[in-house]
Amino acid sequence: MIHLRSLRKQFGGLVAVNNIDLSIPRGEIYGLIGPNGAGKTTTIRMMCGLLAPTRGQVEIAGIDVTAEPERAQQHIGYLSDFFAVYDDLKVWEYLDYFARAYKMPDADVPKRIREVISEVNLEVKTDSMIAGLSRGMKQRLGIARAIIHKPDVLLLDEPASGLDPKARFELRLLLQKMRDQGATILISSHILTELEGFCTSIGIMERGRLVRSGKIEDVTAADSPARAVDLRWIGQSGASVKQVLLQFPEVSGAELEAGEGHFSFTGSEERLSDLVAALVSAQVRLTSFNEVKTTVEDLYMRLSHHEVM
Amino acid sequence: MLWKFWQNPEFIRHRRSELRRSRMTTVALVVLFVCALTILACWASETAMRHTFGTPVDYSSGPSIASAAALKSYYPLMLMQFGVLTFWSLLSCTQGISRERERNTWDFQRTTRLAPSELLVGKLLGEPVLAYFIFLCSLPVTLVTGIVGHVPFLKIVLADFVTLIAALFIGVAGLWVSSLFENKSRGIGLIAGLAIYGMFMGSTGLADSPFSGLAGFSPLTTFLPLLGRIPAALRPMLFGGRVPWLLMTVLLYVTFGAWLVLMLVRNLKKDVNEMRLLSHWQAVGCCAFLNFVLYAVLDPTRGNPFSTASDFVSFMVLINGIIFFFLGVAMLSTSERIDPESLLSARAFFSGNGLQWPWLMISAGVSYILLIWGLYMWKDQIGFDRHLIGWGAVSMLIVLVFITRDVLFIQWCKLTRLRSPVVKGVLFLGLYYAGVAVLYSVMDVTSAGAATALADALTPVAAFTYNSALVPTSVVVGIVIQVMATAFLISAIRGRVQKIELLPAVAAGD
Repeated sequence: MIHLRSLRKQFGGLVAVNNIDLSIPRGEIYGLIGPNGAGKTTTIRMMCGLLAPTRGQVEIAGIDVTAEPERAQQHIGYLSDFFAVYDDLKVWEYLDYFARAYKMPDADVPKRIREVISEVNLEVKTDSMIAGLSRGMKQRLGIARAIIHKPDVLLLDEPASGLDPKARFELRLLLQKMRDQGATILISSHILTELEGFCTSIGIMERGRLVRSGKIEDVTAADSPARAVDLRWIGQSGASVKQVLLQFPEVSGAELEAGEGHFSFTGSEERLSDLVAALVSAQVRLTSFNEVKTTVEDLYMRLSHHEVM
Repeated sequence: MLWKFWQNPEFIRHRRSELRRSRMTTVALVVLFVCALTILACWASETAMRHTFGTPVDYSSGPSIASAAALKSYYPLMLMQFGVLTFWSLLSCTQGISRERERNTWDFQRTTRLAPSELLVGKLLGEPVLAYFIFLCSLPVTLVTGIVGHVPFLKIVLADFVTLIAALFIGVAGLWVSSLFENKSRGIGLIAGLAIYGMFMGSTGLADSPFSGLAGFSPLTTFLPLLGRIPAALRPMLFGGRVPWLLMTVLLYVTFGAWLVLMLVRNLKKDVNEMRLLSHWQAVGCCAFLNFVLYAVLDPTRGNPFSTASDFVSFMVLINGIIFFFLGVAMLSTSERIDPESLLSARAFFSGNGLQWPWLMISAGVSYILLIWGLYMWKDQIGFDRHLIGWGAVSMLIVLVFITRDVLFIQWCKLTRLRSPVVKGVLFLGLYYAGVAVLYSVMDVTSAGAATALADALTPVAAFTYNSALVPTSVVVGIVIQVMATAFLISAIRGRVQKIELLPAVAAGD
């Protein structure tokens, strides 16, 4: 659905985006992560046809965005990080303007406005002036604007800034619903917890380059092949438990103290199962044995540490 | 769709936000109140005029008091209507695009399916929609006062027509100015808009010049005589024949408006840094058009500032120098648009992504041909001498060489990381010419000849000081120096483009 090929953008002597290749299939929620200045917004603006790439190609729904921006834009819903709405319009008038600007058939417009207003929970404000809405409500209205023309692709740049926790939750539900309906969503953020458990794939941008990209599990697994395991027990000393663990060559970095510790394990599921069995056979009275998943945040901090700072 | 402006989403948006029922009622009442006050004041003034020290004066042979008062109020009402619509159009349109950029709403408009032409029409009529409403509210009053005041109906209609086309033209010019400025320089845009408004209105002063037709730019030239307050200036010349001022105004607004619309439609949905006002061929066409207009409206019987044909040649070369400079700036490219090949290969010189200099040469060629044509057509009035063919070519070449150098310098500035590179480039050039002027005056103290040679070599002043193709050596040396400087600038631009090509990834602002 979204294809970026050797995408590059220069501003004078600065390279803001450097040779990005990316493919996002239909129905994916792709999180684009990176610090301020990494090139996320520039990438999204090129995807929307707002900026011409210096080199490379952006293809959305099979349409070259640079060659046919207006045709491509029919398939794109876009929300920028810092945006404003027309305060002197009513909520329904604002959406009516964009519905007509996207050339929706006149007969479909009122029904579609009701639908999106309901989806962003602004029914009670339909006839209110936008000037009187709270920041969170305006953000929701912005999201309603981005989806008014039923786009196949949603490009959201920091969409949750300004939203309260409830509205963030509702935004997640709305985007998941759109994904279920077949939309492809690219969402950028530097607040990592905002994206985790929500995106199906992620990309990490640093200095204009896409340093990691793929399914969250694949990206985290590729970066840290060893699994981190935490365990707790009662009774035996740390040294005796360590002795059992070190019978397995896949174990490394075991740090065990009285009653608790952690180690790294590079073996398969079966071998991990054997290890648990060995601990039980050695009469280690386990109270907890769990794998600590590498979070996107861990991965991001690690990558940042090595490549940016 | 384009002409059904009332269905244009952008126009509807402005209508909805500006013309809510309560505001419409208030505005209509205020307008009618102002009209009523004006009429009452004029009636009181007329009545007072007809009484001298309380004694009624016999006006039985003249118009009735109602008719005289209506006529008296017709003028200020029409002027107010004209002023409100044209000035409001200017103010609102000059901020139309830059304000959207400032509010961060422009990107959303650019990502809709509205074509640039639809956005243009929506903004042109939508931004000053309240002023149009005021105009509509006052229109019946001015019609009635005009009719009661025995103003010919056609004159009333034509005066309203001039007001409307002037508002539209000024609106297009305002949007054009607005499209050039980023949100941070919105204030400069507004000042530029006001300057353009002053130029439009002030151009009425050209009515007694050899280019009297250009006075048609000012709606006042046509509007005030239609009100009957001042006599119309002598009709302007167009292709050697006299035409009505109204026709001249309409022709100027339509043709110049078309160029502004072309530039807007080409660039309206582009990022401000990626705008290129005209393509290369369009720039050549624009140069030919501007020259053509000047020769078309030329009326050597008026003003007569050209004592000799050489003066006329110098004047046209000067005007063309200004035209070349602005066209060169209008063709400025961003680094990604410049094809490095076009800087090396002779075949690629004329590619759409090449530098401006070959196109400035073509423009100069076209200007020169039109100059010779103009001289020939007006030979009886201006005079024609064969030596002017050679001198015209040399002076055009001198100006072209300097302007090409200056434009390429600004192009080089645009490839650097300077903020507002065009403004800074122009300021640097101003500094250069100021430096040469000071040096000239210093040298002139000791040796006038050396000072002149310096001016000939470093400025295009030679194009206006000699009148023979056999120019002194200093001029030739100057041309050679400028050609070398131009070659150096092309090389520097090439180096800049290639350097950018090879740059590694570095962090840039989102």
